[in-house]
Amino acid sequence: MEQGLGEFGERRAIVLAYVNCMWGECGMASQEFFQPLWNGRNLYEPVLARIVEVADETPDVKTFTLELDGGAIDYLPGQFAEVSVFGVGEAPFGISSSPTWTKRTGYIQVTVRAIGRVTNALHRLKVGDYVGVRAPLGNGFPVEHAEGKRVIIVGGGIGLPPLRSLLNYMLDNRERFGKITVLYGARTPADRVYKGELEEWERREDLEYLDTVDIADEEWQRLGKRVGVVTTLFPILDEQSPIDPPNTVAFVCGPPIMIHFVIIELEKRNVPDENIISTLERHMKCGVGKCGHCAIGHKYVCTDGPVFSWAEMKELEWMCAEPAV
Amino acid sequence: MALLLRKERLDDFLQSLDGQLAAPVRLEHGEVHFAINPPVEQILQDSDYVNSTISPVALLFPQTEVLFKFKLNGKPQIELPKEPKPLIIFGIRSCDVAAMRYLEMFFSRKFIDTPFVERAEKTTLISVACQRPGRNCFCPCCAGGPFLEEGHDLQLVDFGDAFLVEVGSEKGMRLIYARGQFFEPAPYELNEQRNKLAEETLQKFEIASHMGTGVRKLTSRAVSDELWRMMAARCIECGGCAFVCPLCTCFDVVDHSLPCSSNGVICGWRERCWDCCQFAGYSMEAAGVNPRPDKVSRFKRRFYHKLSYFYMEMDGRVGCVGCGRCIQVCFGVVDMPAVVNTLREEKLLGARLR
Ligand SMILES: Cc1cc2nc3c(=O)[nH]c(=O)nc-3n(C[C@H](O)[C@H](O)[C@H](O)COP(=O)(O)OP(=O)(O)OC[C@H]3O[C@@H](n4cnc5c(N)ncnc54)[C@H](O)[C@@H]3O)c2cc1C
Ligand code: SF4
Ligand code: FES
Repeated sequence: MEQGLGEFGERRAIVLAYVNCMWGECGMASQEFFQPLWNGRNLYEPVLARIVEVADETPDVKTFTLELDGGAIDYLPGQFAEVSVFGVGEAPFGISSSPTWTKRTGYIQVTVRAIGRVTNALHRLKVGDYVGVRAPLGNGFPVEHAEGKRVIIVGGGIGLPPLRSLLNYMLDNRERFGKITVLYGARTPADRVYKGELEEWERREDLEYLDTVDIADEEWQRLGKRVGVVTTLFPILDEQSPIDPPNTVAFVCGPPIMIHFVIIELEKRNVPDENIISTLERHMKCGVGKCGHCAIGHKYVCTDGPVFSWAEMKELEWMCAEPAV
Repeated sequence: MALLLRKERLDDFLQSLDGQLAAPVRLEHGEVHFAINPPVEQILQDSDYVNSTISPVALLFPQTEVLFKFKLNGKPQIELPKEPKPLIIFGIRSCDVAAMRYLEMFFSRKFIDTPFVERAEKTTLISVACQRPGRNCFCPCCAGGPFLEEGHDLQLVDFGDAFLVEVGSEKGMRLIYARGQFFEPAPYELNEQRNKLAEETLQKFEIASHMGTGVRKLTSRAVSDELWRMMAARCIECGGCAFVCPLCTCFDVVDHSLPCSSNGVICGWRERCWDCCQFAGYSMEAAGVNPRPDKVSRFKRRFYHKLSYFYMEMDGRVGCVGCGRCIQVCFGVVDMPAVVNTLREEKLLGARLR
């Protein structure tokens, strides 16, 4: 959160909170907390945002470009937004645009799969319609941790939006990072999001891009492209650009089952637990650590996450005696 | 500093307070409830009640509350709730004062929960120390009472025809400064008597809950799966415990809307309402995945949250104040003391063995 504050830093306030505890140190303790980072006076008041573009990614995924009332916001790749369709509800989405792009254009983007009430209502909206936004929320990716290192980005299906934000941020700051590899797996070619951008990544010289689908269509077969789950890309990697474990940071997003198997592959190649970075998904309501829905162990995915290292996830699992992924 | 407030001056004192007054009254079927601005003669005296059915913290974190209203007609318009009025809660019990302080800490951690914190800032707590604990009370086990050493703005101790008034905060101090005419200095011996009363009250509790043992057992994960299964089997997932617990903060958020004119304008509001981690749908995600799909994992979650040291690191204290309300509502005898003592004995206890 701290890094993301930027120009909003002055809104931070220190108060004295009354601490009453059973374990020794009782009395007054200073506690730091944040005012909403968006314009709302109230923590739950969204800022209005106008939809300036809707792009179809797949039959059930759309990318919305939003113009926020009160101007652009500063955020980190991996942070998310609570988007409201008034009268229907609010739901969390990873911000899929990069902060560098937002600086240039003033807009933010979210990529949404229609799956329930809010997401279907969002899909029915058109350019010019308004939504509410509370953002940025969550911790974001530890980009400094990856500086100067080899970066491996592994995405599965609709898990790509936060990784797209990260990748575009890295490409805009290319000199700060080592070799970048993107591994992307989707169920079918039609299920791939950001198809235009994928082609561009494939063409780029400063980026290694490998993709695969579980089930090919005719076009895919004709082009002779790879078929198989995303973990089948690892042996290819071993041949063409082997992983140097301590100097590699991997970012993994996708369905839990995919995350699980990708982590196994990374562990096999001795990537340290602290360097395997992933996101946890939980049912969320408030996005600000109050409603309790996203809690796992003593952490709230909305404020302590959604980004966690594999080391942190393991610790969490032990502490709360339940699986995290 | 200690002061004396004669009982015949209590009514005048209460009437002199600015803002709304919430005080305990007895409803027609016998239950105790905190009413807003009740007739002074209906306000219950210390010896008339143990505690209210629902904690007065619900005045600050109500079961349902509107977060904002909106009007959809072209560009949406949002209207926030009005700023809260000052509130004085008179007759709140020690356990609920402790609960209020816990909630203040929770709701201002990291992000300030505007609705709660705005109200809390304008709320003054005048508690009445308990001298007759109820049969479900176990506050001494949780640093929640029966006499408070900290947390109150003012604490009154009943001495028959007068209250000993103890000041616990600046807010309480200001309240008294502005109304010096109602108070007189308390004789020094009263302090000693007060401590004696507190000691005597401690002897009157009927049940105990060994919270420290519970904390250790959970944090070191020394509880067998079998024991969890047996305890969870008794839970009927009614959510009653969470709804009466003054420390439970989980809520759901829902939008409501309806046409409010003939030309297609839509009016609506977003509200939050209490939720409970024991409900199966609580953690269910849109795609149908549920990280806590079975009752055992949800049951574990509840007690880990309230008792494990890792969790308490965030909230600063054990998630129970010993008010005993969960004992009152739990059909399955898996309330806080029942569970803690089951963890301690490592076998399922009967209803009478709390
Ligand atoms: C940090 C984070 C980032 C996300 N990023 C994206 C993204 O970039 N693109 C995308 O398409 N989806 C994303 N999701 C999932 C997305 O939030 C859910 O698909 C969405 O909440 C479903 O809402 P609904 O109202 O359409 O579904 P319903 O089934 O009608 O759900 C009702 C309510 O339950 C809650 N809810 C249900 N499922 C989830 C869930 N999986 N996660 C959180 N809350 C849930 C929401 O508050 C929702 O309003 C993300 C989830 C999280 C936690
Ligand atoms: S739990 Fe303690 S403070 Fe609460 S009503 Fe009972 S005796 Fe009073
Ligand atoms: S979403 Fe409400 S606590 Fe995390």
